[in-house]
Amino acid sequence: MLQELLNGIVVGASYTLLALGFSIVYGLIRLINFAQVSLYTLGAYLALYLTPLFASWLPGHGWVAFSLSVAVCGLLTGLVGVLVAAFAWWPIRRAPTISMLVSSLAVLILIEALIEVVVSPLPMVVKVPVDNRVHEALGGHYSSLQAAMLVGGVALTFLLYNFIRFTKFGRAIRATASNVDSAVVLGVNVTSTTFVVFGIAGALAGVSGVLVSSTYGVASFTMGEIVGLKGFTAAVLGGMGSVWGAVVGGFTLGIIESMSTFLLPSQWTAVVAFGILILVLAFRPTGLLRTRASDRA
Amino acid sequence: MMVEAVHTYYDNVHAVKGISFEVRRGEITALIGANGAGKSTSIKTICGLLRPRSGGVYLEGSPIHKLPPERIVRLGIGYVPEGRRVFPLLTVDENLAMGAFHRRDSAGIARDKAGVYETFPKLMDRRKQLAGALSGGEQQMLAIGRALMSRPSLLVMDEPSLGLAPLLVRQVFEIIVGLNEQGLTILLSEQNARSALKIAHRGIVMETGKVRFADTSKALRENPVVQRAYLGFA
Ligand SMILES: Nc1ncnc2c1ncn2[C@@H]1O[C@H](COP(=O)(O)OP(=O)(O)OP(=O)(O)O)[C@@H](O)[C@H]1O
Ligand SMILES: [Mg+2]
Repeated sequence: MLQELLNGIVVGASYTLLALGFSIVYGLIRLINFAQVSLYTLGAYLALYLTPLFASWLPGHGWVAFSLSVAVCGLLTGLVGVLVAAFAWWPIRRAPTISMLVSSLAVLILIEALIEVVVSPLPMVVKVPVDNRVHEALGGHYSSLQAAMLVGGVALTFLLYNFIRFTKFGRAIRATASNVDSAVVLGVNVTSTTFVVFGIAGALAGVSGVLVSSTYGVASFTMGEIVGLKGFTAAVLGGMGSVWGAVVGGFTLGIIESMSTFLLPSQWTAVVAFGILILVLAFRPTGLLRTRASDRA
Repeated sequence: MMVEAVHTYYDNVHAVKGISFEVRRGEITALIGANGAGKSTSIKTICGLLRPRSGGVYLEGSPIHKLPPERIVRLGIGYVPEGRRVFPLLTVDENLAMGAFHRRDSAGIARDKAGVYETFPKLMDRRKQLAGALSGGEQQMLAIGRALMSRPSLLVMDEPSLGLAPLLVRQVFEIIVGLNEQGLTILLSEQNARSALKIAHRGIVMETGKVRFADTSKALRENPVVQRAYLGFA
């Protein structure tokens, strides 16, 4: 029971990071930015090269090298996120949302194809230079990397949540999400805000990709797809556009999936997740947390 | 501020058809007209939310109609949108902070916020609540307070009395007069010509996208056409 709960929180952290990215971009420009899913994959593949490189610079300091790799990969995918905004969103920012969605999906396919061609179509083994012991605590077993993923995911979620909640920039993001016109007449530059938010979403996705591939020891060029859809499900679950909703949605989805293994074989977790997506879309399209009609115009 | 021969379109809907008028410093100017006359379109053009296809808007003689809205607020034009449009998921306090978004003088911002709370004590009591939970009248006060936080020299208000109970309408109008007495120039749109012309120095009457009359409030109140069409004289 506790084991499943812990597993649920660990995978939930990766869903949360992706859900946050979906949610903050959607809040600003009403776009479901599937391109960020490819940045999750890109993060994992960058780490494939960078983690051993940093480990060779810092022999004997495996955790430092790994942490450095996570940070650098996040920075790089954040930059790529800004480039995605510049090339796939900015030129068509006045086009209908559906055009942006197609453009975003094109980026997803393009980056995945590039990884497949440049690196390999086969899954890659991810080695992390740390002592990945299995610990026994709280009535369950978990590896050091799972613990790192949990700590990293929760810390990043906490950081982002507080950034959005308490800084002037975060306030502007929330204000713009609730009414673009009212925000611009107060001086918010939506274009530059959107660039920053694409960058943040890219960084979150990249970090998530590094953490997940390192924890499970494998990366593949399609690894983002299912997780990306689950991140999307989590964002819908909590209410697309809401930061707190993404956090609640991500961890809830992870825990439900993990708990469902009590009742169903583990191959069924995707069925459970996407079943939830369909149910929420059908009965609570504004998310489980949304109660007032005034929340969203 | 001068509006000169402005034409504004929504794609191919010609909503404002060559309007010109002036808002004099220190005065209250009322923009009067029925549903669909083009009041909101004119106001959005002034604030930069809409681009005029031709003509221009001039503040102290310099053109502002090519600037984006986030620049126009820095020049001292505050906007209170039709239907209030406060940020429902932000607290009252955060809504006011958003009003000062372009400012960097934190001491001045704090002082102005205290001033807004002094003018609207009801907002003070609810400063930590979400703006979406306020009543219509309170949201209107908040929308005005938010616009004041940008330190405007010209406050543009789009139908501030819309959907408010008569008592609240009177309160809002009293506040507008008070702000004007402190030196703020005001442009407000109203369907209710009678009360608007009572507080305004000048009025502009719009019909189907054009200016029909532009004169002092007194002259407009005495104009038989205005009386029949807008002031309910038989
Ligand atoms: N988004 C839009 N797209 C197309 N036409 C529009 C749009 N908004 C307004 N219009 C049209 O432009 C004209 C002027 O509308 P506007 O909103 O400026 O009128 P108004 O005087 O503010 O009316 P009200 O008192 O109802 O607010 C109307 O004919 C209206 O139908
Ligand atoms: Mg209007």
